[in-house]
Amino acid sequence: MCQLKYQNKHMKLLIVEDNQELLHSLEDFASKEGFIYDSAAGLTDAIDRIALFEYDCIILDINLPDGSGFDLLKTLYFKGKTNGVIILSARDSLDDKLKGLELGADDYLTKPFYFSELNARIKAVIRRKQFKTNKIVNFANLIIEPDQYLVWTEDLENPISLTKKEYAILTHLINNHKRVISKVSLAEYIWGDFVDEAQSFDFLFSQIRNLKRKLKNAGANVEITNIYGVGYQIKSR
Amino acid sequence: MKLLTYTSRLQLIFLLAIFAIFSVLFYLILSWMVLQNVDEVLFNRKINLLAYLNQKPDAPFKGDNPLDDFTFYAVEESEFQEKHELYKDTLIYEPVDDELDEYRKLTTYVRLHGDFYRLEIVKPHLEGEEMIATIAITLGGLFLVLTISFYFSQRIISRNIWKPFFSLLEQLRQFRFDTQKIPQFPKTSIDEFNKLSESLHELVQKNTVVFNSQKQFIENASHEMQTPLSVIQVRLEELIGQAGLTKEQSRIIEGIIHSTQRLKKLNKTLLLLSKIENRQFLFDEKVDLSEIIDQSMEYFEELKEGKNISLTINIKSKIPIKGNISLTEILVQNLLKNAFVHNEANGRVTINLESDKLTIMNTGERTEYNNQSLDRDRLFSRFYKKSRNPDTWGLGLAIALKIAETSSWELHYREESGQHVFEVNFR
Repeated sequence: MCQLKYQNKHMKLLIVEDNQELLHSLEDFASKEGFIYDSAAGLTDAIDRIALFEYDCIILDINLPDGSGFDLLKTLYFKGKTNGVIILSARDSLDDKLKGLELGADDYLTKPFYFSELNARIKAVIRRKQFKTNKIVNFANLIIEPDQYLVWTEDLENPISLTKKEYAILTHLINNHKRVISKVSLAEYIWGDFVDEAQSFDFLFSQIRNLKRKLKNAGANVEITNIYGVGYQIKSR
Repeated sequence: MKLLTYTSRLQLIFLLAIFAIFSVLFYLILSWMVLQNVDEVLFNRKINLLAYLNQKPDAPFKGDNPLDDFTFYAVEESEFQEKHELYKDTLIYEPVDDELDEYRKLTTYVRLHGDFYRLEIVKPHLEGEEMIATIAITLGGLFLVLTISFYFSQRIISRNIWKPFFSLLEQLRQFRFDTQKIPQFPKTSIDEFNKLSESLHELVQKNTVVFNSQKQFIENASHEMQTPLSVIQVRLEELIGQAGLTKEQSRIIEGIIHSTQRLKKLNKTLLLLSKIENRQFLFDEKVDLSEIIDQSMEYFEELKEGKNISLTINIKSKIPIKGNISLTEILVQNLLKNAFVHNEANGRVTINLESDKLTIMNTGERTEYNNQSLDRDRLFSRFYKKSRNPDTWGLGLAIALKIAETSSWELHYREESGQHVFEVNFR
């Protein structure tokens, strides 16, 4: 039923993270999303692995017990490898960010992060690498053109008219359709820190109600379910 | 009162007391000396007079001659006292100036040519009043001269000797721990001031070290918290994805998510504050405020509609200002959030952007525990909040102020015709 133009199945990730708990979570996340993955708990381990294997995306922690994640970036840079690298850092520092991006990282995510956010970034990296010409996303009978903020059902003549926020919610749900997205992370994705939590939940609720109505009217074969008020998930019918 | 004024005042009081005591002593000594002198003159006069009269027995002396200063009174032998001499002050009427003048009188008994007499000799003597006046004039004049020279010398002292002290004071007044500049106190030739500036230097240095390590501690602690917070957050996300979650379990998880979220936001805010304090931002970017305002509006759309707030935006200048883009965004958004969140139903928000200032005005929310007035002094302090909204930390305005300060702007609050006005001055 679900046909995404990009498939996670043959995508290979390298997860470099020294915190065991977080590493396990990242591994669980990767397997659930259908990625093939290797993990490394330190810099030398990671450098050994990139010498032996090719990865589509590397999730890289900066503070490692035996060195800095920046060293791995340098190694990759000198080897001329163009793996997509997403830095995970506890340090929300502009310098680190610039340094990372300068050394060839594709993205920079500050801890604590949401899986939905990480997932979106990984997918963006992979999409950039592999589908440079075709960015259209399919989900159930929905067709999404990310560059133009357009969504269609089978009727290509008439796109569904969505507001910017409804569009953002829909694509975020579709990007993470395999998992339940917590209400908090979805609200933060749309409104950032600028609205208080309690209020943003109300806003989210009404946005999603409108989105559901519009999708239903357009005959989309999708269902947005609410898991006891904690989170949302999109499913194809 | 200035220290110098205080000490000179004390010194002058002391001096005055000493002068008073001296004046009295001076007066007593002087009058004693004068008396001694007059008495000696009287005694000499008596000896001379008697010697003269003994030599010239026919000289007339018994009558009371107003031209001379002595009088002989004949007395009985029984009244005669050998070697009796009495010096006494007396007042004698002086018709010339129509007043009683002070005289000294010697009363004695003499035997002349076989007869007995009581002899009285008078001499005018220096008047007490005159003496006092003399003393008052001389000593008073001296006191006046001393006071004046005191005043001027002290002005010179305060101008020169205290100069390093005041410059030290000024440096201390302007000193701030977060600027990381340890003030250079002036060197002087005065030991006390040198000691003071040495101790201050030491104090400032020690406290700067403590301040920096505290700051570092907050930053490190916040950073260290990020990883465990990540673990909690991702594990919670995994948990809500589990099939067969009961309603009760979801409720518990939601509570944990809510608390984690609060912790996360607090940590993020503390990190931001310490980053601003550590000046990890560049402040020479070109910031387009009108664009920031425009983009930020999107976040407050629902709040605006929910409370039916009427919004007016007056952009009078589109000239970019110098600052840090991301920090300015945070500043503007914090002020806007403040204006929308703490607004009342059917309220107003007015944004005025001019080339040198940004003004955000809003009507205030009226609840039983939140009246119109805000505590100006505490408004911008950390963790100060007027509303009981559990979702806020009371850090938004503190951050806004910090950003304004680090960008060398000024952020003010005032009340104007019942509206809350926040104004950022860029110059």
